[in-house]
Amino acid sequence: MKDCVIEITHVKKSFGSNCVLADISLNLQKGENLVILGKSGSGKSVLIKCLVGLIPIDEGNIRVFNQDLSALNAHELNALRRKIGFLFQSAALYDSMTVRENLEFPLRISKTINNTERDALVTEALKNVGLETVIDKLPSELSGGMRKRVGLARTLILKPELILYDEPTTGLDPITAGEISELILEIQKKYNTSSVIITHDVECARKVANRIIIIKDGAPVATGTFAQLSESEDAWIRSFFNKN
Amino acid sequence: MATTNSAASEKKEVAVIVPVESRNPYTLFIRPILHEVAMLARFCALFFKEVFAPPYELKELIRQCFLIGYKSFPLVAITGFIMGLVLTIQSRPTLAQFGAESWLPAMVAVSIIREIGPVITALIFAGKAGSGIGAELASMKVTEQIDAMEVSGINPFKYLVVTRIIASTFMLPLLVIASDAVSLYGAYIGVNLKGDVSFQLFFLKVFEKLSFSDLFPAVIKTFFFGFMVALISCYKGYNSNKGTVGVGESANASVVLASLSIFILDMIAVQLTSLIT
Amino acid sequence: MSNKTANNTRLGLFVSLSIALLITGIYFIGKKQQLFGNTFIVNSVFKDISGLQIGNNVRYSGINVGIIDNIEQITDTTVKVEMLLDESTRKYIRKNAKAIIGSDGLMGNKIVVITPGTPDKAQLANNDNIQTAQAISLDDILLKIKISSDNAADITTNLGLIVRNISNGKGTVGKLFMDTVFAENINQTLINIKQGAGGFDNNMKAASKSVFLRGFFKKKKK
Repeated sequence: MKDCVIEITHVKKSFGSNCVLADISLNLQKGENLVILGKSGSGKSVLIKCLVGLIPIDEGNIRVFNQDLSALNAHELNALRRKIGFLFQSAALYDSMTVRENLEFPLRISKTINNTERDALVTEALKNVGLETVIDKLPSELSGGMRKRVGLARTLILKPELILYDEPTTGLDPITAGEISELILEIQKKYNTSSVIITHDVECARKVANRIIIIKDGAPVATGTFAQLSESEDAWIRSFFNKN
Repeated sequence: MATTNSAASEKKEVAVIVPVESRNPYTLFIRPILHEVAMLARFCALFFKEVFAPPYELKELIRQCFLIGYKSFPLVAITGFIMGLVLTIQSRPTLAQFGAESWLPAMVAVSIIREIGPVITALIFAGKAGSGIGAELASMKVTEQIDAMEVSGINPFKYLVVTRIIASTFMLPLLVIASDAVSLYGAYIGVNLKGDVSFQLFFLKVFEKLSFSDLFPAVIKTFFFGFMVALISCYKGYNSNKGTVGVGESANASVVLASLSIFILDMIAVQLTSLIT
Repeated sequence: MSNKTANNTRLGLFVSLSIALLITGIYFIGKKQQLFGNTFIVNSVFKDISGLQIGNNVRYSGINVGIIDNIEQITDTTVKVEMLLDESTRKYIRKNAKAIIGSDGLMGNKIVVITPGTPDKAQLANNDNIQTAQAISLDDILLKIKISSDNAADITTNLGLIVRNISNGKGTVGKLFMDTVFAENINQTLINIKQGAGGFDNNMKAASKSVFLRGFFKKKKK
């Protein structure tokens, strides 16, 4: 399939005797928002980190942009990673740098960018998340929601074709979480990106998902749209949605 | 395989290799220590692999030099001054018994330059910079900042570890020299608390007994001290994986192991020096 | 950004100051070891260098003028010592100057002391040999002290013997002090002398009253 951004086939990963990913196969179409839903500890975060090669897999095959991750050398892997945006659970802003330096950080590799272009990119990215005013603040001076947004701005600065969200709404109040969800949709429309969103927040999943995969004990148990899954016959899946 | 990837895989192996069920002393104590040593050696090898390969993070290196070197100076200077003063005051009675008080400046100078200066400064440095590096890298690890660097295509090992190790390796010798100077000033004041020695005479007496075989081995060993402090702290911080608790543990282990390694290195250095001269 | 520049300036200051301190230290130690000035070489051959080491000082008129640069065993009984001296002292050291190994205080380092030659001789050339004089080493002094003390010990032993003999009454002096019979005899003799003297006195009194000698005594009284 040419439009497949991510293709995962029979991926297995275990830490010692603890099997985290049992046997996962899934794919992501171009322009699609895929939500992976599961309880804490179901291996979602590990899966998403496997996608960018942060965690090597034991078995199976991961292809991103039609490239086999395990066949890439360090240089090729870095080139591939620069096409992928990754928003971490804690936003992972560099504590010692201001917001501006945080945003400039991923740009430091490309030598072709001059100062004016860099400033323009930083301002644009911050405008996208609505936070132009905090440009010279340190991450410690920002609230949790602001940090998430700055983190998102930082992932956007390289104009990625694929964005991976690791629990984008965790630790936020429902209103801020809602705003972040809106932002995800907005960005997806604006830059026509494909996204994988890992979450256990059903509300977020409802808002952003084109398709939802539910993971249990390291293996997918159900796939479908929000409407299909909430009407599922399986009691366990239904309980997931009925919590809220 | 990519270096960054293999580093990542090694990190995860920690949990794999040490089995819980065994209770004999070898598997309980010796094997974890050997394992740790092996990991540290690999970390060190990775450093030497990365340090020569471009790109070079010069800006961050200078920033680290400032943070690690310059910022440690006041602490190091105060300690150095007190050491010089105290050493002089403490040595005086013994020398006075021999009627050799005029040797006080020379004796204190030799002790400071050869031993007290390098070791005390390195220990203070391990406490200040080592714990700082350990805690900072550990918290970056815990809050996924290191992962974030890696996924944005920047080699975090190069950016975080290499710069810190180089900065520490070259800043500690400078700190030691500065601390030696302050220590000698402290000794001058110490001499003058009970005696009356002009600065010029003190200065002459100090350099009368000093030789290159006092100065050079002492300066050379501080490079190794600096390297070791940063290497251990970076290793402990970079491989922290126990969440928030791990941050404290890393900072603590950094200081303890770095201090221990300073003494071990010092012992080796003294043996080598006595072999050469 | 300006903050960063300021930090860099401070760092630069710290680094340059520390390096300057190191260089100063090297300079002052080096100055002492004569590394950076003009120097010339003087050789001497000693039989025994009493533990002299490379780097020890060379003194002339009590001033440190150089260091020992090299020590080399040349035959089974001779050691060549190469000294590096300050060029400025060359004009004072003559060809007949002598090198002696001494020490800096009782417990100090070994040094080479160069004694002045006579002004009529030429100045030293580079790589010249100067003669040596046998140093009075501490060992020599100790040896001399030992001989003296051995002698002293002999003397005191003999003295002891004499005193013992005296106290045992052997020999004339011993008799003099220790023999009671002899002492009694002397005592008796003294008593006899006294009595004799008393008799003589009576005789003299009698004589003064005698008619024949009266005039003689009268004259004496006047």
